[in-house]
Amino acid sequence: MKRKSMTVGSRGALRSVALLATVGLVLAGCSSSDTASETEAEATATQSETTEAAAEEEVDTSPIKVGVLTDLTGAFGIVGQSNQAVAQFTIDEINANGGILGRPVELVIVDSASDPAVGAQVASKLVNEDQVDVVIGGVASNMREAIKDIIATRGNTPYIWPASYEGNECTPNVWNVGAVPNQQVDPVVNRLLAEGKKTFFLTGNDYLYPRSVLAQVRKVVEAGGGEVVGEEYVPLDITDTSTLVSKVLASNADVLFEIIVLPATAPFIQGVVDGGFEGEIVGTLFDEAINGIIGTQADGLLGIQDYFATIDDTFSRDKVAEFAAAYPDEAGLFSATFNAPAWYRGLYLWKTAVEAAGTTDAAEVEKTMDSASYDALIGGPASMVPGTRHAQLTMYLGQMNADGSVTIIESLGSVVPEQCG
Amino acid sequence: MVIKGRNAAAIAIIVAIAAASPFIFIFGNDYITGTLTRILILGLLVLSVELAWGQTGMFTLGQAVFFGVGAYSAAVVAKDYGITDVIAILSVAGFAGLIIGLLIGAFLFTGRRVSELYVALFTLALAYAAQRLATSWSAIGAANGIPGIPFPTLFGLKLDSGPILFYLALVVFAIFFFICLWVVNSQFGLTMNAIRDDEERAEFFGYRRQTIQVLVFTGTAGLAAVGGGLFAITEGFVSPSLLGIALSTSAVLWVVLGGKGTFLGPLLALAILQILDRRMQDAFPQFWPIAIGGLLLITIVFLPKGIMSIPQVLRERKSQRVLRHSAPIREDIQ
Repeated sequence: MKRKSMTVGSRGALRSVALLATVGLVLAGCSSSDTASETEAEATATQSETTEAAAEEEVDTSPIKVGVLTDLTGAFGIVGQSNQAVAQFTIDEINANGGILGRPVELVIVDSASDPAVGAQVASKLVNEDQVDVVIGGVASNMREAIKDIIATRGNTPYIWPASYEGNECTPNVWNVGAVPNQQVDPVVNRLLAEGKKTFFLTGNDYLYPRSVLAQVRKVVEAGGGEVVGEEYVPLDITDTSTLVSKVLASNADVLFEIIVLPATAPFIQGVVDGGFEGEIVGTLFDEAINGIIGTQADGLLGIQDYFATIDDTFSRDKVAEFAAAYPDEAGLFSATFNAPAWYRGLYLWKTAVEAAGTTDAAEVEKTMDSASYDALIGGPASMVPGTRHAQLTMYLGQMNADGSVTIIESLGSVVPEQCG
Repeated sequence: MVIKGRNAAAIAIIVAIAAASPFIFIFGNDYITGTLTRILILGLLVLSVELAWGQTGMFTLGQAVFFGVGAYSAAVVAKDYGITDVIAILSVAGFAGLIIGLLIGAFLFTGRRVSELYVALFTLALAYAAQRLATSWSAIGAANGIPGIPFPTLFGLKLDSGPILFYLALVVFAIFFFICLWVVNSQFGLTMNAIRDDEERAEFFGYRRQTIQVLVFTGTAGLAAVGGGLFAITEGFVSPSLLGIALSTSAVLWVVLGGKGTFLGPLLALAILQILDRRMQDAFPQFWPIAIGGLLLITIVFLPKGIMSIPQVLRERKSQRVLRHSAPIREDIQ
């Protein structure tokens, strides 16, 4: 036994050295290709430095690299697939119209696999290996938290966060182009209070986003003379919502404000509606994509988004029709909750900022992006509010219908985000 | 003699990595450096699974729980208490892992004899529960985890660049790698193997099976937690997935692919998969996870002892061809 393990041991040593050599070779292979691209980059850098003063008309035609980081696989895979299609659609459109600063734009797409640890890895690849000029992406807030330092702080690269979220993201180089709680909450709550609906029941899943949004709801309700008669949080992966449904029904509240995410959304709403709840039901996650899942009980739900398919805006309708023709598989998923309008908006706002700066340099874009503004966007014009890192958005109050469509009750116009002030 | 052979291999590895690293820093970039750092850190998790399962027969499907406990305690200490000294942080992380490991190990192994399957299911459930807890506990960031963990310091010096963090990980890895080798080659290691091979017989010989199992389980928890602490301070963030089922089973996968019962095989499998993984995942996002699953199946069926047994299998196949032996190959290996 002992002799045998001895031979295995020393052979193991030999074997390990041989295997290590192989790994070394693989690594060397990787690095040599990197060296090539790096020296190339250095060469262009020195070249541009020397020629800058002499010949200003000499145009840089190397492609601008846009890093797309989204969850192509895993729990949010369906959202990521939609995000990727929207990014591709937007960049194709930008390239067809002459690119940015006369340079073509190319996408570098990576999969964060719905796992922040993977996201951190691929974010580092985008910034350090591909050396992209900007990164856009992330589906859930935990992804943003994991990647923002790697991209924006350690990597000094602009990062566009294209999702409605809980707010308070004020890191330099990070640009928030989705809606924040006050944009999705204040108009609808104030409207309901004005209609004489004073008692509110708040419920959501137990994580940061619902808690932050519902805190904003409570603030507005109490400031407007209303009363919160119940506040309940349930685990993220809850499927049996019957207890929660009975609490809501027993409260007899005038308004139910809910942020219950999939897969429990449908059973919860169905339970409340079928149980005879008479008040209004409001949420930040209602739109065409979610209505289809809820079914006929979606009839009458209220939601505020930065885009609905039925908004009275021919530009948006034409663009979405173009998208549907180009990506028939993703056509039904061009929706606010899938962040589709925010991706389109984020890329165009960044394009505007780069054109204003005349360069993709992060420090220059940091200045121009601060007040970037663009009108021809899906869902309506948007502009960054200087000093806040957040976007002023055109918001719509919609009422869901039994067939999944949305009736626009009110165009709320441009709503200012209350952030990073 | 045995110790010398194995230690020579270990020293060869560490020296080779250290010698190769300057070239990587010169020709590579922070992404490559970061990937290598991550391999060393996950290497500690792999070592802990190998010690618990490969050497002692405790099939743990929840080792990431301790990795995560280490990561979260390091994150809290560094961010909320402002302690950035790397030795202090890793001590806290390791100690947290030891305590949790001792509690769970004592509950699991004392007073009864448990089957390998029972341990697997228990630890799997533990990983699920731990991830759920972290996802909904708002004091530790709930689903968002803890981002923006400051860079570590050593004697007041800030360790804030990729290569420096790499060397930090290399030193920590080397220390624990040698400790693992020392333990396995000691009398205690032989006892661990005896329990793995036949619990009942080991008990008949008078070994305190329960005590040894609890000790090893606790030790591996501490080891995984040090890895987690290192992860937190080098990557700068922690999230609930660090203590979940996915990472736990990945660690087991690396051990299976590499060859249970060896240290080098699992570490090599980890390194190869980590280097391949990101490139393949981006090139074939839909196909790659299936390919990994297929690879695992093929390995279990044709190479039950992992990639480390490839030379052995080839050798035996050759000798069989010479002898025109008709017995199936795998009987010979056993």
